Amino acid sequence: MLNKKLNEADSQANEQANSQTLEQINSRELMSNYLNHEQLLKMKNSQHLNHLLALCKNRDKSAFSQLYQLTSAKLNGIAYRITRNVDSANEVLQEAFIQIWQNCGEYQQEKSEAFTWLAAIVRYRSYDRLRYDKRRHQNDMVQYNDSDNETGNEENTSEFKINAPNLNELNNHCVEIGLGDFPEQALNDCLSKLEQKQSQSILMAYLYGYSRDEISDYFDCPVNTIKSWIRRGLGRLQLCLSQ
Amino acid sequence: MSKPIVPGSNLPKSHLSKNKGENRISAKRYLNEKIIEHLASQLVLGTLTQKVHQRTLSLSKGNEALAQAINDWQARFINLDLQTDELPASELSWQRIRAAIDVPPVDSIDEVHSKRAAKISLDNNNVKQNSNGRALSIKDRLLSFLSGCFATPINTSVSVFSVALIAVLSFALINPLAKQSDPLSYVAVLTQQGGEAHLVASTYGESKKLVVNIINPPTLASEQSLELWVVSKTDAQARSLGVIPVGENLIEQQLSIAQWRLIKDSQSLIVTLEEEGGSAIGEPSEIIVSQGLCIRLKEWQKNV
Repeated sequence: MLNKKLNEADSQANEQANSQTLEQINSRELMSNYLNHEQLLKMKNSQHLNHLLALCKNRDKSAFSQLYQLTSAKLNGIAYRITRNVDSANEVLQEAFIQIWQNCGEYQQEKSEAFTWLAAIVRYRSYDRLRYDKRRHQNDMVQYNDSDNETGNEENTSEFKINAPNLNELNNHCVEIGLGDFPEQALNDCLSKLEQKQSQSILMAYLYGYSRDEISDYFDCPVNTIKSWIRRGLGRLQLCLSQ
Repeated sequence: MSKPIVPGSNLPKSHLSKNKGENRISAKRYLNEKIIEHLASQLVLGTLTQKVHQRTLSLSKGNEALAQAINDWQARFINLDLQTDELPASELSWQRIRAAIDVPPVDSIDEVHSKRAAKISLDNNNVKQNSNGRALSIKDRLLSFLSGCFATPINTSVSVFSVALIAVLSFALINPLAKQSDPLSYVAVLTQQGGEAHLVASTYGESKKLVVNIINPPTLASEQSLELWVVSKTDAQARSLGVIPVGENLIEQQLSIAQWRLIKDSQSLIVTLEEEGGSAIGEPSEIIVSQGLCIRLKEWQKNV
């Protein structure tokens, strides 16, 4: 259905280009009319984003603007999911898009989907940002506790707790796995087949940026156990997805 | 079907040892499939330390197998990202990205279409724009904008100033240096303390040229110069656009990319009195000869 719309949009653009003798009428303008962001991002075939990235390689700033328009809300959502802070998410998004502009020459469309490449940049920056913020908050905590001890006030330390991801959401997510109407359910199905602790550990890391130490604290298990869960979980996931 | 490699399984103890560290493994060992799968999967999961993460990404540029494994793991998990709710980015985000890489403003879909429709109309009718035509059109908008101002209870001096503004802008807009297809993008009328117009500065979006029309030049001593500054919206700092040559009424200057960025971020323009040759310290003196707000034509047209 979506591909049909894409084709229609392209052919309509071609017809107008021929009949009106306009130079370089760009089908992407028309496509924006037909497809909303969600549809575009759900597309398995991300030809349009590939096309925009290819134009960005040629330093086409208009294409870069469109790329931003089409993907920024989703990518910002990903950054927010990990950082749990709107300001941090927006900063991550800014840094990520500057990186995308600078490094778009490295993108190889024959090796990965455009959105996958974009999302990876945002996720890695978000993980970095999350850990940076945590370190900074931990330093704040130490300073706060020091001044606390001096004043004898031991209350309200919770103010300085890290913006921890909501684990209820994670649990809900795990419950929902396999029930969604997403067309490509393979991952969800395979995750649901893992032992719960394995899938939870993997999702805590991927979705919310939990480190192995933090997962170990959450489950009150040694870090090596967590590593083992993740390793086995990933192995089974790979096996399941390859079937 | 071949059995998939379990990421990180059967890794050598030296690799798993926290003390020895993953980054000490020799480059040759990165050709080991198990290590590749381990690093790729953990990188995508975000569980590597920042240092190892960076090293792995760096290695992947020269290691096809590692790059492919990373791509594969990213593709396996991407649906989790696609299922994540959108969060519209703040307006400031795009402005900052634009400022960092100098990208033109994002046009809305409607604007894109109306621009294209305008282009179609022009092409079909083979209309040739000329600078007078453009100036009249802008002048009409100016007049209707200012007549809107007059309709409001503002004081007389503002009205008088507005009439002067029309005259000055009319002069500026029928600028002989302006190119026919080059849209006027920013205008600033710099007035002196008494309200008398000193100069009109205008910039053109296509050519990124600054044109300065001197209306009433102040008298300067021989060891003095006037310097034009742009005041940033973002940090309120003044940055130089150069010294205004003496004895010229119409000055055209090609802006650098950096100067164009300054214009796009401009709150106002000021002219200061400096020692001959301009400020030696890169900051304006305290003697402000004239100043005026910078009007972005696109935004201003919306108000008409």
